[in-house]
Amino acid sequence: MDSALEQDWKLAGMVDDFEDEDVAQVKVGPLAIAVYRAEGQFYATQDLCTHEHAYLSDGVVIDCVVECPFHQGRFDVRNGKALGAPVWVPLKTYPVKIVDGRIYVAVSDAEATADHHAQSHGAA
Amino acid sequence: MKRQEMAVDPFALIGKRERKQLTRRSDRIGLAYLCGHFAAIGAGGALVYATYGTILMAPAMLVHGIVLACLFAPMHESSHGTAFRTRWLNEAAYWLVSLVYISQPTWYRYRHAVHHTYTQIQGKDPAMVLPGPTTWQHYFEQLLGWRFWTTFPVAITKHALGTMRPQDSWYVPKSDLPRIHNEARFMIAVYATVAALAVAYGSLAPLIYWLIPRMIGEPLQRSWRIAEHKGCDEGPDVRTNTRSTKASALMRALCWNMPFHSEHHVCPQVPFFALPALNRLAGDQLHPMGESLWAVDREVRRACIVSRAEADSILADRKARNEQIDNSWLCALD
Repeated sequence: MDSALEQDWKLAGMVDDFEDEDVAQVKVGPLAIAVYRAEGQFYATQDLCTHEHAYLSDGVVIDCVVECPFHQGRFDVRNGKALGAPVWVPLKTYPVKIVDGRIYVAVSDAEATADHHAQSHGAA
Repeated sequence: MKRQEMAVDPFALIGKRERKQLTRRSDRIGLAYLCGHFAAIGAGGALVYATYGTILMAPAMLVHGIVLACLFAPMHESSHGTAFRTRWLNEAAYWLVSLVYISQPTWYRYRHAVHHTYTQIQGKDPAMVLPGPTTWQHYFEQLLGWRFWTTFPVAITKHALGTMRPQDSWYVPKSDLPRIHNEARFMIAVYATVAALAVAYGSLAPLIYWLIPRMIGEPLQRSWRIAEHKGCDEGPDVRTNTRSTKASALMRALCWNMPFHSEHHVCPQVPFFALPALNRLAGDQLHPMGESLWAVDREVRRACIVSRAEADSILADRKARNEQIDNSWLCALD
């Protein structure tokens, strides 16, 4: 792994702080990222739902699916895929690695400071 | 609506740990309720059969119809995906109940999501019940649900033809229109097959055991829809724009706990069976609970219904202030 990418890994929490089917919000600068533990693995996506303004870290994780707390839009946390009405735009996903019980998420500084409110696409 | 624009963050009313407990889904409880509901429909149908041609047939059809009309509850619950833990089970139940209740699944999901976003916002909430000014005519139209039988067939036919009513197109993404069109075609094919079989066999069964009971059983279910929001604040505060109402154990079972409607709007990811527990945790922060369906209905009739002349005057005032909102597209669809 080159040094530039190495610098993009941000500490996102401790493995022991997550139960299975758990989600928590991690802030990288102004960017909110949802970190999941699902079926024993860790994943990370944008936290802001692509439908309307709600944070998936307030939602429910069932198997490898996160459900938005506001309208129950569902996404596959492994690849960000939107699984049907009322959501249709996929989530951005982020690479995750575990080192010594610590969770790291790869987010560049440019991503962390982008306009993330544009990520919600609600027809409403 | 963005959450930060709401008057209160509904998720702040209960802690994350409690919310995680309350949002747990259950296939076992969902199946018990669904099987119970269809068993009640079967029993109602048997009652209609047993009383066929007698004076008791009318009350039997009424009872059967009330249970049929209350299928709105599992339809609504599974539209949220909270009826079961297992996704395919939820979707299968959603389709089955939607076909019997006569509702188009994907269209309803989009429409209902907008209802949760714009609850009680005139001109935006597509499920707003009796937007004011409300006259006796509006009240009885809503209560009897008659406009459903003229509006829904038009809407579903438009979908089957590849179009959509202009008032619906703003909240449905273009990418999902083909799904809605195909669903409409499938549903029309199912209903046409039922009609063709009834004609072929000279049977009145679909009318006697399904459509007529549903029509006459509608008012009780519609009363609950009125009680959920009518007379509450018309604004974004989830604590005050929705009302829960006390109900008997039988009614709560038939309505899948939807009388706990404030709790449902505060936290729609909480499954129906956990709404009483949510009420115990956060009920005191919400709109005062209605004492009974009858008491709420009486209060709505007393406080919200105006004469036609008063309604015309209110609308004229709004027009003069350029505040006129077109609610003519609203109807008793849901």
